[in-house]
Amino acid sequence: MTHDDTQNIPGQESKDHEIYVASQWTLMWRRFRKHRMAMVAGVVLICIYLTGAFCEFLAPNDPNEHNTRLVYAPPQRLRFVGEEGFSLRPFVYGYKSQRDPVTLQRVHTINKEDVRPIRFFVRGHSYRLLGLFETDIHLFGIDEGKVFLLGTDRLGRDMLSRILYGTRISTSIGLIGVFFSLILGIIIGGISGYYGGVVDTVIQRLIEVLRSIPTIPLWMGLSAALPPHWPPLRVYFGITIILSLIGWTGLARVVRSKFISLREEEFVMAAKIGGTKEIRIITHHMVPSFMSHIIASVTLSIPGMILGETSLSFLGLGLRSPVISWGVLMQEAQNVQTVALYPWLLLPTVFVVVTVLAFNFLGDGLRDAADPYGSWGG
Amino acid sequence: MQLILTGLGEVDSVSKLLEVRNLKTHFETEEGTVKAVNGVTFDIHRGQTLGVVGESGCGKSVTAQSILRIEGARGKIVEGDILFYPDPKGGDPVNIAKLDSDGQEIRAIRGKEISIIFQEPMTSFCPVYTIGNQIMESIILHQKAEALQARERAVETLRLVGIPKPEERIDEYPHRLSGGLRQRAMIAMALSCHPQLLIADEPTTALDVTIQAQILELMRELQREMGMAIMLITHSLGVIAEMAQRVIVMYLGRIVEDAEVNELFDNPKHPYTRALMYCVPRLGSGIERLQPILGSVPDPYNIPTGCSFYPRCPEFIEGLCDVEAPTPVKISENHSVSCFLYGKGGAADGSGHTD
Amino acid sequence: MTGYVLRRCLLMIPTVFLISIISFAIMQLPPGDFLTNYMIQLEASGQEVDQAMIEALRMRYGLDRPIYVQYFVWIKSFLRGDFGFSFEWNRPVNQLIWERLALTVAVTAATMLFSWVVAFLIGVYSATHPYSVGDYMATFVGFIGLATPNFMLALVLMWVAYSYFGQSVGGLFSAEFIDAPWSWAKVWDMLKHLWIPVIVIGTSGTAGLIRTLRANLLDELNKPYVVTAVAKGVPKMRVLFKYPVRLALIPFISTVGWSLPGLISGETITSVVLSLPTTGPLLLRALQSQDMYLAGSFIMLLSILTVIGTLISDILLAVTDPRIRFD
Repeated sequence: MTHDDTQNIPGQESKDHEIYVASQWTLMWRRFRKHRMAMVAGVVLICIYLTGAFCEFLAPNDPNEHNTRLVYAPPQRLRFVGEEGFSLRPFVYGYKSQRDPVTLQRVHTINKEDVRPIRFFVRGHSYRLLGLFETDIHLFGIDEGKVFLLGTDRLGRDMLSRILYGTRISTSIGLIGVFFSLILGIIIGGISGYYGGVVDTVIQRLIEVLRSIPTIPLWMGLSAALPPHWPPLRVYFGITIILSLIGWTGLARVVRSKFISLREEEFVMAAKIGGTKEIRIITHHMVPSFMSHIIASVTLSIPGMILGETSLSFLGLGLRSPVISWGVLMQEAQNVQTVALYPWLLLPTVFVVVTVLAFNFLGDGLRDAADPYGSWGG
Repeated sequence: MQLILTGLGEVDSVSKLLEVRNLKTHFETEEGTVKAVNGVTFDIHRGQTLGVVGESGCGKSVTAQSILRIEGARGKIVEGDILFYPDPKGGDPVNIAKLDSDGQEIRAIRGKEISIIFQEPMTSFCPVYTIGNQIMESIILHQKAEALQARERAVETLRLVGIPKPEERIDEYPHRLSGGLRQRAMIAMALSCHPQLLIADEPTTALDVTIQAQILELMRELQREMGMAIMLITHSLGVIAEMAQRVIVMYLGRIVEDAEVNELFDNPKHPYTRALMYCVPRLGSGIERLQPILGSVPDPYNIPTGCSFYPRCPEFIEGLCDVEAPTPVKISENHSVSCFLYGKGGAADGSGHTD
Repeated sequence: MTGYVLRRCLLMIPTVFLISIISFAIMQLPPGDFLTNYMIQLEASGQEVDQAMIEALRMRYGLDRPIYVQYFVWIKSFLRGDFGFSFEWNRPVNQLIWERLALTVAVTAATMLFSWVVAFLIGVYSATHPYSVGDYMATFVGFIGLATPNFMLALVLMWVAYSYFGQSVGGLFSAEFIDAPWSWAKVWDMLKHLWIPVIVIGTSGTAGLIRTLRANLLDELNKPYVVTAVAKGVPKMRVLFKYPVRLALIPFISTVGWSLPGLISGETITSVVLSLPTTGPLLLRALQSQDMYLAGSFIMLLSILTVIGTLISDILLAVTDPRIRFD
């Protein structure tokens, strides 16, 4: 059929030749570039992680600062066109606060007469950039008072700044958790796949059991046991480890199946016959040859970690204030009545969804690219 | 027009089973149009075996698929006719090329009048049903038989194709049969409704050599018993020599040579046919080395202008072969070839062939 | 076939054993034993501590004996249906647990049915119309579904329902039925409330199933046996459903097996957000107040539920795939 027709084409010969000499990584990159969604997702993720790294600089306000006069203030829209026409410099309108005669609550509305132009590289609260340089420069702000592009929460804290700070915790927990899982997965999966036999059976049973336990109840059970008096950093690592205690199983399976198929490959046999030590065979011959698959699987398991942290923190069993993560922010949105009045409290959802989506697309692209000798149709 | 390509001299129109006229089947892909079959004309007669030979990608399989209208969603018959004469006593032919590929008429022909067996006996059976289930399916469908009757007939057919203990094997799943048995079962499925034409698309390529011979022998036997015609697609000239009465040689969607089998082997005309023959090792032929055909089959999206074989042809005539496409030239009663080495085609031999 | 089922059932024993160890370990994780915590709690709330009762409980659960003895005492009574004592509710755990578990099963089963039907229909459509508008839409919605955590979807749905339809969604029953005894009217009322949790819990799983089915079916559609069947003269739709769909269902069914833990997981957190009277909220509360017998029993029973579910899906798998049956 058509498949037959596309073989043995002289026009492809030169291309084929290139393929033979190209390194595995070059091939992967070439294949990966074809996945436009994965490329976009990769760029999005780079932006997200840069945001996490530079959140102090990007955030206009101190995320823990209470503004008691501006509780539940709605988002100020960034504008270019106002009453006086277009201005190249973006601006926001200030708030007008009134007390609701019925509920006696402060209600904040946008005041169109109060134009506040946005200034760039302004001074604000001081912080250490990347933990190194003491500075107080922020990307943007306004001359007087504060800007709340995404509104404020129940204590008048700036949602945008909190989300940006939360990015650091929530996305890094995915990376660190996956790192722990990966170590566990490579060791256990490697042992399972390399030695086979009884060891393999036992480990496979264990993995099956762990996978058959519903994760959220298990995570809940484990994280509820973290002592409440622990300092935030320790809780952070505690949660990460709990997440990776389950997460390693998937990676171990990938490693194992790769080990099993590689065990029979000629170059491994050759190394064995040549008298190379086992550990060297594993680290120098086997691991590099399936690194690409591991990277793809790792990418696909990061979203699970992020969602796990978010869920646990949302339930109050994970990270707790004053630590800021997307899950902690979502805790503020637990009550429907509150959400209905102040829908901007749901905004962290958008960030979670975008991040998870980006990881899924990137992982899909990587998985396809990881098989450079696979079918060209993808 | 019919004279050139009407198989053996003595046959008349009553015995004609299938008449393919200027068939063009093209595939639309993202990279362009593949002209897999590009103007093919041949006949098949009742009880005759037609061999179709050529390299991979020359359009043999697509021609076969077009006859059953299973060329796939991307394939399209853009031109030509496939006339099928169902009634041996004469009567109007059905033009298969014009039928709806999922319509009632073609479905009544598939499996009943024309059957096909494929190269891959491993994957041609669906693994989750017993072979009996899959054989009985066409019997029930075409012969309106009850399940019990159909089962009997299926057992009968399995016995016919030489499967031992057919009443037990009928309830086996395909993966429990060996490759040879599976191909026999495949043939049984194809023959279960006594078709008039069996298309065998490389039926022995995936089997090992001893089994190949058995399967070919079986097909010959069955043909004698049931009197069906066979269209045998293969890239092996050895198989052709053993099985076929008439041969067409295909290259890049066209027929380059069409001859009675002995005539072809004794007197190959087209450079491509000759090249194919030199590829076959022969005992005591005295030739030291096998000669490969220069280059490989060109990109199907960019078929060369003129004669599509000219870039690989040792005898190509500059300014003619790469400009103009040759048309069939009649060499003798049972032999025609599309090559400028033998004159200018249609006009030259005066047959009025206009393909 | 019987042999296969038997072997599969035997394999469950070590699995359940390991699960019980994990559940027991979780129960033991909080510092101090239950009784000490219970006494502190009672004292803190100014209630009198009944020493005799404490002593009786200590004896009953073997709390003064080594940990492995405690485990055996616990597992023995667990197997007899005595799940321990809830100190927060001051009642045996098995009085608290069954109705909630039953409702969890009901919600999960309904969700599963929903995901199956929806995923089957959309998956078959997507695979038979690849790269069509409908296919792209299904893929897009599927990706969003996969990326949105259950509880966020629940929140968003609740918010939309509340602010645009003025409806408070949540719970499984209308107010008048919450404490009513079971009746057909109550079941009907439950069914009317069921769809929101079903959509919330089912979306991500459905999205995954659609992707699996689509990929598998696309693979199967290109297999030679499909052409063989068409070449036999079988009508296209019949070919589609008898052959490739049937084969694509095999991995689909096994997916259903291992998606169960995910469903129960999702059910747990969704029920907290939607305040369903299922296991989730009670488990959360038990964990927060370190009412560990209750929490441990929930984790154990939920895990066993998924193991049973996986068993059922494995048996179904063997029914649909003869290759498994014989190996």
